[in-house]
Amino acid sequence: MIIRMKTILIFLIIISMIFLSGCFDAFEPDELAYVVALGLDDGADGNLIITLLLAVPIAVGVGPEPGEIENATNIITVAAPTILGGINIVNSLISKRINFTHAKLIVISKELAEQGVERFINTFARFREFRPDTHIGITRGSAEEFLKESKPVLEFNPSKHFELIMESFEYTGFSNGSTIAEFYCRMECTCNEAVAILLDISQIEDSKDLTEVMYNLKNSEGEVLEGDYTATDMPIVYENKVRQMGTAVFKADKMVGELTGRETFYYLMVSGKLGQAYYTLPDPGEGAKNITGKREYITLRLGQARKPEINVKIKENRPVVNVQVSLEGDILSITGNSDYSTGEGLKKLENYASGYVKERVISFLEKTRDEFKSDICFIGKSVKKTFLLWDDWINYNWAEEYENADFIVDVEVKIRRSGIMVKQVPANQLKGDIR
Amino acid sequence: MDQKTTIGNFEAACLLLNLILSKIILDFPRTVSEDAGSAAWIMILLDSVVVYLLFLLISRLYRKFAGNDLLDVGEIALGEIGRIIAGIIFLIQFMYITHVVLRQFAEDIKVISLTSTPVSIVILLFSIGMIVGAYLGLEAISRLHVLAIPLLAAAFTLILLFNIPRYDISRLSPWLGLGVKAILQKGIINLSYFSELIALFFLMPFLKKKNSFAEIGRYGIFFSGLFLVLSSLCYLMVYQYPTSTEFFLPMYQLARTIKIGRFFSRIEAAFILIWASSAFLYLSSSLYFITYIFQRTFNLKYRKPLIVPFIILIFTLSLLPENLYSTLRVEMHIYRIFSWIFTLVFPLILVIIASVRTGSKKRREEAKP
Repeated sequence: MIIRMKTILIFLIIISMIFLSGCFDAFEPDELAYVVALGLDDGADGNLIITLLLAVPIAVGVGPEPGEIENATNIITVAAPTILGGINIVNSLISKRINFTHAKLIVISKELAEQGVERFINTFARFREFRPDTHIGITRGSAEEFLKESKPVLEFNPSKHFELIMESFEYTGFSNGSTIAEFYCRMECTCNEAVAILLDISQIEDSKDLTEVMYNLKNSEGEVLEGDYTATDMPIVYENKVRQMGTAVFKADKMVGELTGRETFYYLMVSGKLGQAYYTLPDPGEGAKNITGKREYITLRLGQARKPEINVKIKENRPVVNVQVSLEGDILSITGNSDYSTGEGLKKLENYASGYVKERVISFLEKTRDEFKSDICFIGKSVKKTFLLWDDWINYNWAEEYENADFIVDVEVKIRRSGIMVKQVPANQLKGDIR
Repeated sequence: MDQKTTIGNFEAACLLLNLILSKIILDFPRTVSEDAGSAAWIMILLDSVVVYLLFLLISRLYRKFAGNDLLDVGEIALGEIGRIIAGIIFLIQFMYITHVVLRQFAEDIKVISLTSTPVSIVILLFSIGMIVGAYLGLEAISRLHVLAIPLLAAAFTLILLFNIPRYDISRLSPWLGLGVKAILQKGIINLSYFSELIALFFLMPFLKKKNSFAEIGRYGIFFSGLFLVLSSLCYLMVYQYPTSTEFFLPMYQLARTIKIGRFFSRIEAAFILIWASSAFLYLSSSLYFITYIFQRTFNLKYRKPLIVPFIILIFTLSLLPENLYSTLRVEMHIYRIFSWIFTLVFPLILVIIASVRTGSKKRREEAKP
């Protein structure tokens, strides 16, 4: 009798486990609408304009017809005082329930970012559907327009498209791949400040516009190297109009400035986040110009040889920041006739590259100090390590002290390889200059 | 039936470890950083050392009572009334922490997984598990611990290992956090994190080797201390103070951020199952100890009929806190302030009195012609 009772009891428990599991929380995947990207703009009367880029799972799954790749996504825009309030409105409209677990990008308009993003970031950090690795970007124009213009061309899956493009900074060095988790921690950190990915929509329609764009971008030396601009001015003609280049710099939760793609490269270099990226610099040869009088260039693949070392000493109440950057790279291309693959040439190139990068790193650091007054390179960490008590550290007020910082930068570039060539024999040495 | 139950050293140590360490998956790393800032790990390290030393003292005194539980010692010290008083005190302690932890685990599951399910249903499901565990008894519970603890330890270690790329030692600075005074003051209260050590004194009669309790306790405290220190240290190396005080479930937060390549992410879903196992084991053991202590305190013949009345009581108590914050407050501001006294000081006093009385009784007997 007892054994029978036990069997019945165990059977009842197992049955109840099957039927009770998720009875309240059960959702079929096809009952959910997955947000791939979320856009936030400033609306009227304190409202937000919330734009959702939704994945259309059937289109993503089977792959859309040629030329209909935009069918893989759907856009909804709603106005509401809060993000989740807006989502509630959308939920009452569509047949599926909005879900953020696969969101890859949050785009905030620059206008909103300059007012402060803490109120949104708190939502992203608190609401469990937002993943900590969701990327966060700032667009100069409207976030709604940015998402509307976003038309993945080479990738059917919009989620994968955004994920891959936001992580491309590892091999371009032109962006920073900032995520919700990273942004939130840095926004609250007392020893460094947050950054976000800089985004925009291109106004360039065809290749005729490139000449004008390049002319406007010329620096004092009359040249424009790759990355010497932000997302807005990228000299590219491409079907997909959205662009990613540069960094949005924050102080606490407010956006205070922008870095170009190349400055972002230096930011990644100093903060130890640089992957392996192509880097072009002028040919170090005196008057190295080609036959048409244009300057020659060398392209290297640069990466971090060691993590950068940052030491801060306080001298006469001013922080003196000593930054040591060690880079190593390969020569990928030399447009001129000089050979830098071996011997003296190689030494000359290393020295030139070290000085060239050093000069620009100093100017980048000074920009963060003078223009942004924002320590985005984790320099405060070195200072914080010298404190024993929290109250003393807070009273020291690193954010304010950073404005008085002096920088001593040492950059060492070592060329390890020269591609699959060990030397270059220019054609003009063999056949002379042909005019 | 229960009196014939015997458990091995490893089983007892696993049970002890789960009881002490289950708080890691609740709020432990957060609450210690609230108390001592970036020096939370130092505070817990000191606490572990203090508890270890106190246990050495208690176990030395307890040696002559090996095989007896604390209620027996209470009876030796103060007679039957001593046993009843000790029983009621420990009963209240277990009841208090069990209903709080039951609510906390239910709230955790609700926050991270079953968001739409009423909390009462989640508590009810946990209660069913508790009834089954307490009904099957200590032997079944301790054997399940032996199976689960290595898995739990591996899961915990994996979370910490996968977070290595995000560790930054500078986040532990300023090195003394909120100051030496805060470390010492809060450190005393936080001795309560080891309050489940009391369970060892109720396991005494069931140990195969009666004299090995000191060894089990020493290893238990060592590994508990190690995991507690590691959890707070690693958490603080990822989330610096004061961000570290914001997350409701620190270990879940650490698991959420794990991402290796594009494919290996969202592993927290797998950990929920393991965490729920730890919760079931903790709560079943607690219900077992509650019924055991009640039975022993009032010299009752049967233990099993007590399970249902006590689970009804615990279920009702767990629903009393108005909200999540009230639940946390009950644990942080009331239980933690007092429980170290009942766990470390009270047993010490009982053992000292019992030793004195046994000694004087022995002397009297020897003095008799």
